[in-house]
Amino acid sequence: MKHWSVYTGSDLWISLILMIFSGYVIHGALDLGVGTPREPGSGFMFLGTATLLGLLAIALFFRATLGRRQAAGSAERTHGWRILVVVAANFAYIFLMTPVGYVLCTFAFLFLLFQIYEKGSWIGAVAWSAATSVLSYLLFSTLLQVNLPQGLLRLG
Amino acid sequence: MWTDILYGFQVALTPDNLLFCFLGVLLGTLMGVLPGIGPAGAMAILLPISLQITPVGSIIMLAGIYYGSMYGGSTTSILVSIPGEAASVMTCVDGYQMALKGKAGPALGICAIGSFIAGTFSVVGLMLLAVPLAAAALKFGPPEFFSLVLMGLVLATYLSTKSALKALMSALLGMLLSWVGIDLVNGTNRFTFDLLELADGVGIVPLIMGLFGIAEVFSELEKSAVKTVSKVEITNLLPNREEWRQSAGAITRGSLLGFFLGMIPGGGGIIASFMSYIVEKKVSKHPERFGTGEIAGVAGPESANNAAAGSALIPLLSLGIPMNGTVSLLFAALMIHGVRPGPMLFSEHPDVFWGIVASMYVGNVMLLILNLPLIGMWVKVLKVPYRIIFPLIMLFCIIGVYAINLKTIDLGLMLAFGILGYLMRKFGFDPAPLCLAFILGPLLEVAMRQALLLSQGSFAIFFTRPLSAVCLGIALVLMLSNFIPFFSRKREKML
Repeated sequence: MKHWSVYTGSDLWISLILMIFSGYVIHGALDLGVGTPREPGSGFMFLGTATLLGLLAIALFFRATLGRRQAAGSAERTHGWRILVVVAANFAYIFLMTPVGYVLCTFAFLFLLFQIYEKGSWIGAVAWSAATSVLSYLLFSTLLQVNLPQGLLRLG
Repeated sequence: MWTDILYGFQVALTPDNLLFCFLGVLLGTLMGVLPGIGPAGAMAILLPISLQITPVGSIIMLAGIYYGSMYGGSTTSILVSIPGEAASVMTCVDGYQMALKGKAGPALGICAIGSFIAGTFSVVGLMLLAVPLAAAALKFGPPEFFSLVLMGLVLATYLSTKSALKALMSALLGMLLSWVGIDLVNGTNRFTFDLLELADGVGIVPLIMGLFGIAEVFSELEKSAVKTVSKVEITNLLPNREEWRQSAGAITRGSLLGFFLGMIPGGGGIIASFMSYIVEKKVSKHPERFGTGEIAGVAGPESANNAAAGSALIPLLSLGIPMNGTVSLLFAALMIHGVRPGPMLFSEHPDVFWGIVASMYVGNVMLLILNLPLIGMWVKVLKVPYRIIFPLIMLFCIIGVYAINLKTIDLGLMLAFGILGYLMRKFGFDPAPLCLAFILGPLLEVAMRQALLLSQGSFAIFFTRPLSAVCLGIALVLMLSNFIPFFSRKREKML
């Protein structure tokens, strides 16, 4: 069998996801109305683009199936958990910023982030977080007139 | 033209714009020095802040960040063997070896001087070529514009990563995202999921900051450790006579090569520096010395990436078509300020065009001053631990996005694009074509509709007009070549 190119195992799943996604967009485009070439409808560009994406996803699927599988990556340890924690912290920050307020939320968020990458001193992290949250509030709210939520703390 | 350039200096030398230019090159150098934050990430993080200032000041600052990061990227390449940004990868090869041999000073010096010469050369080229190109572009109709944009997009994706297939898919995703929102022709909501916030479409700022700012942080967080600065003595930044002799030709060739490659869609600094390194190795009488600390291997690529940074602005400002992902951020910034880049820019906003050109002369001088005497300061910046830097980047992204509309949904979108950008990088999809297509998508749709209206629904209009037919032909050949194993392998080898 002729090897086309180097592809990874994950490409198989990605191609399937993209096929489903393009199918969904095609369905939506048909609902929107494709129109005619003389008078293109709202779904015209979506239909053409999603169809092409679907065809490319099928090509990726076949390449992932027939192509030369890339050897497993290096054994270097990765820290995917850090990303999960940062994403969770971001979600919490987004939901709590308005009711709790910018300064308190940012303090807690930064304190967590300063500790994630590598363990440092607690006092240092508290000092950095407090200084950054207050100074950034003053800079953006006072100097640049950005209306940041005050929440529980009533500042100025 | 001299009147125009004098006018440009009048704009660029006002105290405010001088300050913005200085801030831009300073922040650009800083971001270039810090590993893990490329020019796109840096511009994305600072884009919302630039919205608080005048359009000219904002673009001068963002352009300063763009070409400033090219200067700064070489510092980490030489001292730590980590490229501060992708275009400095080739500088690591011989630059780091020079540092290990105690020649970090001349390596850093030739980078700064070569970058200055190449940067100035590309500004002269920008000044001379942009206006005639814009005049020619005024004759383009919707079919030509559609085909030109499409060709640019296909070329950019073709040259972006090893897998052209994945790059094309990335671009198609960008286009689909760009059309979300109300259809301005008939008022239909398109894929808005009945969310009022999506009626105006997906915001460019959350998308860019997510894909480049947040995703870059996620990618760095996953890694184990960051290398530390090697204990190198930095003395005597000026190269000696022999080093000058070896570098002069490399700087000239690098400047010319970078200038032309920068104008090609998808070209930019990365390909320019790679090609320059290959050329220097080919023309050298001692190619075996490359990789062991050859100064021409530093001077050539560094000049090339700086020349490419300047010349990439030519198609952006004269045709209104950004040719790579980083330049598309400048396009976005101009559009947010209500300034449409393209042939009409010179008549509608001469202050913006000539102001940028003049500020680039000034900025290049500032960069030379920043990079030679202040090199010790940048070395100290390198020692700031990443655990301090990344929370600050996250905070800047959050405030930046929130400041625009004061809506938390924008923060959610930014996070979603951050996750998407991280996954794309992890699985070999380049996010730059997505960003480029997101920006060009609405232009493509409008041009296509106008062309079809002109031709009363006949697609033949795209093939019967010579320029349009040539552009579409090139795009088609490039797309199809990806499915021919011989060409596909050649391309992968080249990249």
